[in-house]
Amino acid sequence: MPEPRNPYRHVFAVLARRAPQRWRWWLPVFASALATPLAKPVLLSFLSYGGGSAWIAGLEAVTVRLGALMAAAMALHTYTDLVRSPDRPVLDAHPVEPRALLRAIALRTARNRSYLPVAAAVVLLPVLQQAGVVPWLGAVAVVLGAWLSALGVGFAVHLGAVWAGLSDGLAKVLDAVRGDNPRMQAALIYAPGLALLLVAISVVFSSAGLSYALSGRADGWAFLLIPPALGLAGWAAAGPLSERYYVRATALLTEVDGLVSGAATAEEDRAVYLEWLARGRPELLRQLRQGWRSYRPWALGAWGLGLLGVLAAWSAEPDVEARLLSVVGGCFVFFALLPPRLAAGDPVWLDEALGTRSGAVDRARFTVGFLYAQGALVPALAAGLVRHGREVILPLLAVEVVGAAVMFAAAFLARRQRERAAWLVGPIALVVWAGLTFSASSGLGLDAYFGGK
Amino acid sequence: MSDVLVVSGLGRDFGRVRAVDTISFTVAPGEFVGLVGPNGAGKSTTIKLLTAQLLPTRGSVTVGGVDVVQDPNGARRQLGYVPEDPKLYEYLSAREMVSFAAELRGASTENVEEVLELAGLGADADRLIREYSQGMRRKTALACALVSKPPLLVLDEALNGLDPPSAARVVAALAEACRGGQSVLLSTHVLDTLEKVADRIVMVAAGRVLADVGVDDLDQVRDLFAHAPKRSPVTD
Repeated sequence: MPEPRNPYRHVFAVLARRAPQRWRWWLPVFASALATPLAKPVLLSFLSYGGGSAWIAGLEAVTVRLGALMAAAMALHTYTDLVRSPDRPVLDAHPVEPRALLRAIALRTARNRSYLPVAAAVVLLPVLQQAGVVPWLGAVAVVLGAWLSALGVGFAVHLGAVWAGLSDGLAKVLDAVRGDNPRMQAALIYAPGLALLLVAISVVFSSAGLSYALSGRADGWAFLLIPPALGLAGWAAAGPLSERYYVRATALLTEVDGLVSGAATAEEDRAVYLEWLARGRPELLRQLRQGWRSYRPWALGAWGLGLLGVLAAWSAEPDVEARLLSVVGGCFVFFALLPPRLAAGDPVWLDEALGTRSGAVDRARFTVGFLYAQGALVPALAAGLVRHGREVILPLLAVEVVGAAVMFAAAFLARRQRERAAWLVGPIALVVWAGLTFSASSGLGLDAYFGGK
Repeated sequence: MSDVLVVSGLGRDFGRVRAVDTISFTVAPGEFVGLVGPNGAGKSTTIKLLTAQLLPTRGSVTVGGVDVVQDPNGARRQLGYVPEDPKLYEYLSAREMVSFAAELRGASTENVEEVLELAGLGADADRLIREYSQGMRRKTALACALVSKPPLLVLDEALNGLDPPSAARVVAALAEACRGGQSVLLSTHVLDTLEKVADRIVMVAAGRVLADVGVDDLDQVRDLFAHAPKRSPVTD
């Protein structure tokens, strides 16, 4: 007997046909292809160690990092595609068949986000060239396993978070970890981290399995099945959870949004990060306010990323400049995604209605992104100055200059393309980051350019 | 026959703000009830509580005998809902959107043409929704709500943004639904709309029911409207 038609899948297919976004799939893959040769000396440096155990250990480390990256990205994508998806307000007016809807959303997520493992496979192509087809296939299998795992685990964990947020039994636990956030939001906030943790643990096993297998222990290959098996278990749990919690998530989200807006006191609303810099510049003030009220985690998260910069700057290894350019540069150019988000939050008609000059808006969004990114750079500069003296200034100055250029391009594109600009800026930032990494690790590095230390 | 909607001691606080204090009323089968009140009276919060988009702080709601908190998806099957700002798939046509709604609601797709005509979308039904005005979006949402002929229709300020002929058409469609045995709860702050079609008016202000009267007592509601408290109370 044929399976009844899934109406959600049918509608999603029609929508995908009418609003094709294939470029969103190809662009990151293309950017990865451009970035790979540039970033290879740092990302895949183990390939230059020669054969044997040295590069096997290096490959294991790289697959863990790429697998964790897949898990982090999919943990967030499963949240935005299921819990905060644009489908929710449309479907809120109707009864839904949660399992059929979950299947349709999962298939759409898998299709739309399949560029992630493909881009990772492209990044790993030098392994194919230098180590052979088996190590490359093994590494791709680890990454693909992480992606599949996060797909199943992500949906289960996010639906479980709705249960946790509504559960009286977990109230005390959530109160203990929620900080200043409403209790129900705490469950949603921690869900991506939990999904990442679960998948990352499974990836550690599968990467170790790859290492064993490449060292001659055939049973190591079996470890590669751990992440997909975890993903299957997550998927099996997601079905029943969706029956009970997909619809209830709407009430939870309304609750959280209401509490968040209610929790902000008038005084908190007035206090805006870096507002003192905007005296006499109303455009900048508007963007700073929007940034602080809508994207506060970016402002605070920059200082969290700054800790990575401190670790890179504190290193006693001889390649400290390369590390600074790679780590701090990566964190910095990531903030180029902020101007498109700021643009997406402004109504289309606003600047026209206010009579604001477009250049002023571009500069304001650039400035907010640039200032927020300083949180990722300043701690590294301070730690580097203490540890190594003035020699860290040059690489960090390079990060500032290159980062500023990317940020300005992002602000320029954001006004014209709005939120779609993120899909252009992201790949550009990736290639620029790879370029920074390359310049730090090659004869074209800053030392050579500026005449050495 | 038992009431299709039973709202009992319903209340909702947002922090210290009491958006809905204590609201109780019922809607009988085939009845057209207007939920009226000034801006900020708690109408939209009440509608969100009735349609399982918000959890009550106190009280209960049943739609067609289904408890909205215990079984929100089951409650949705009992009602058609037109939000104040309807969200629709932009790249579907109205005909496709309504067919999709019919499929979700287990209704026959044969009803689609009828409700598109009833909502006044016949000629525009094959254009993409992204090309629609706000009024046409409301009509599409109304057609989606009507397509399965649910026992209760809940409309939140659904006549806003409609030109007078369209508003009259929508009201006529709702009156027709009532004659067919469906119940309607229409939230609005425009009293005149209700005069010709409503059976009862429930007036809320500051999160409380100030009056629950027959439409013949509309003047009493108008008087209350003019003197209604504007702000939601703050809890202790």
